[in-house]
Amino acid sequence: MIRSHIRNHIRKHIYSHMNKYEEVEDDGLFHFTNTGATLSPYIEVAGTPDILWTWADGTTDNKANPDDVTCIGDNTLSVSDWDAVTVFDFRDQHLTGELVTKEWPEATKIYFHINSYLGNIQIFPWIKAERISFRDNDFTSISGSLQTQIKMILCYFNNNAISLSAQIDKAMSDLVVNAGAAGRTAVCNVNFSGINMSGPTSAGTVNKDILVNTYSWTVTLNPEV
Amino acid sequence: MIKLKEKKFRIETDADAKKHPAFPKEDTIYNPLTREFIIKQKKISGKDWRLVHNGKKVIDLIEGKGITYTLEKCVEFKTRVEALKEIKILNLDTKEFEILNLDSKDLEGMVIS
Repeated sequence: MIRSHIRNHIRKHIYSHMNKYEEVEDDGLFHFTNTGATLSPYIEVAGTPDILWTWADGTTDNKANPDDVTCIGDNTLSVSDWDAVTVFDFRDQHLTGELVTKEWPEATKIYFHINSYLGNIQIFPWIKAERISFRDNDFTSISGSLQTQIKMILCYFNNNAISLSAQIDKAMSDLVVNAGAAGRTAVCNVNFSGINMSGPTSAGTVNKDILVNTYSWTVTLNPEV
Repeated sequence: MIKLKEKKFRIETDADAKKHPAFPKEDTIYNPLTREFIIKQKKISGKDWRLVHNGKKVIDLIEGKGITYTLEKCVEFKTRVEALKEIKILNLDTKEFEILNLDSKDLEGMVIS
């Protein structure tokens, strides 16, 4: 009886903390923090989902392509149906902090290049994505897989700070699977180069050669380590 | 600096050769009698700007970092503007390329000297 009571108490305690964790981690919003004087990100959507940009100064906008704003700080984007979003264009917005990506199943363009994002990039299947660009940030790692983005024709991760060759190797390995997948009809440009980026090991080089020689992709990498 | 690395392999049928993505490229050689298929991988490692194209459209425009490997045509330029001028001279399609490395406004009204 006492043991059962303790067990229930522990379970309740854990669930309580899990719920708090979920509330903090996934509130359904896309969060982004800017440090520049102006901000002009935009999305494109299919259909008519409810859109709400909430800027750091408390003002809001309901358009997919909002008017430029001049405030600095933490902003959010809410879309009533994230599946309706086809384009995420957050390039060159002086964004910083960690980027929390989502599944975005209908996105064809995912642009977050030329910002100051840090930490990890979480890759999702993004099966409709044609252009994925995270170049020119300060990302230090990649998680997830690049095997499933079979419509992708541009894949830019260059000029970040991914310093583990194992991550470059995994990307090349994933992309070989991607290149050979049923349903792929176009070639792809891949770039993982940059002064703070690692090169591949010999295993990554083998897969790079498969991408170029077998599938006719164009690949830019740092020299083999 | 652009280096060529030749790779030879055997392809069993003409149909398979024609399916290879490198088949229509100018540097690719296929001998239907010997079934020998030869591709030339380009390795570009200079610090200048690299324009990769297939004669019809821009494949990539890359600021010289790392090494670019491709079977496509590749030309190096000292500056980005020179590369953009070449794109205009060759009348290469930039639609697919959009705005990632190449702002369309850069091409508008460009004076080619």
